[in-house]
Amino acid sequence: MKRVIILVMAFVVTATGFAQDVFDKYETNGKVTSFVATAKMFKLIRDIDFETDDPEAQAYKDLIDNIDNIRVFVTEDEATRNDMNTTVTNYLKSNSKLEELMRVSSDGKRVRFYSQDGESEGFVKELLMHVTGDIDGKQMSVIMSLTGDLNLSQISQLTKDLKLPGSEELKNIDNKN
Amino acid sequence: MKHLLALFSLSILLAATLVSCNEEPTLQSYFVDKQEDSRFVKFDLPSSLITEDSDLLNAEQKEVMQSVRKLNIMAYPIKEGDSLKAEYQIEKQNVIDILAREQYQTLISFGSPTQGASLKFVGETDAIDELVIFASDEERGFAIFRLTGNDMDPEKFVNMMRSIETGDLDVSQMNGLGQLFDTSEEDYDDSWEDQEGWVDDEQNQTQLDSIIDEIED
Repeated sequence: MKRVIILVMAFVVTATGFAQDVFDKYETNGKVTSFVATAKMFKLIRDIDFETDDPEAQAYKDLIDNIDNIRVFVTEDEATRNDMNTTVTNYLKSNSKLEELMRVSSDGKRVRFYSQDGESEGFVKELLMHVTGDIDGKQMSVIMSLTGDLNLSQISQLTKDLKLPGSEELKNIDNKN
Repeated sequence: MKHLLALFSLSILLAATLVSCNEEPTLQSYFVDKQEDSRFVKFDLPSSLITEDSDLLNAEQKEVMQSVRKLNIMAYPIKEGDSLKAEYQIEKQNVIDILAREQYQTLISFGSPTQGASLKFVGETDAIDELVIFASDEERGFAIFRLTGNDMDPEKFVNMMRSIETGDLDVSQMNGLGQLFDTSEEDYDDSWEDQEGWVDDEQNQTQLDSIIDEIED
């Protein structure tokens, strides 16, 4: 009997391993602008191990060394915006380790950061940003999810370089933390 | 107890049979399927074209090049005033469905309501068997760029590119290749690549662009 249970367990574990992430659906949704870079991509970049004298490039390299996944979803579509809001709310409910890091409201825009603490001080395992409201005169919803062993101050640099909404707010994250 | 086990193993066997019978299409089979389809534009480059001129490469570089089997490019251009956009959507969805299969692991993907691009691979990150770029644009059509080989190691390729940069290796002498790289891409509007997050690090992309240009001409 034990063997059967183990077998069944093994099946269940494999099956759930294929379960889709809650945000994956936005990749194929025709209303969303998305950007995804996976753990494999970052592993590949690490493997190539380029050398550089440029301090800025070096900073990127340090950052990349510790990122597993980056995903950004942006939409203006009203129905999708609402759907995104619900998804984020449910995701936060189902994952109690994600705590609110910061919340900023300005110019009709709400920016919220959630994080899961990492191994050491100033590092997080997961960073989730959710922006809603008026961005450049348009009603938008933005979700950014980063996973890995992340140094918060380095991330603020990255979001600034990618010109993501919310990067201004994240700039001050170290001071508030 | 015995019955239960027998039933269990039977159902597993049945499931396995079902899976193996239902062979889903791969990119390879899709390319073969569309070989005669006039709506598609195709371009193939076997790696022998590159490695033939063996004096140019040292042993290690030769080994790198030999891990590459061939390069296939296939595009579905939307012609002006094309009334058959539904057909385009069907073909595009076919490709998306194939690439959504587990073996095609995503490296980077970018998508917007009107455009999309993704970089995927089959194999391991240091032993790639197939590298795929899929790009689509609702106005222009879609293109698939496919590099197949055997255990291609990106690190070794980068090392070789470096030796090209430092001038140890003169690419322009390679048959056919030089022409491919030199193709002008003036007409191509690449503004969408400048959007946030789009990584234009691939020389491959340049090739793809020139192919798209050729199609348009």
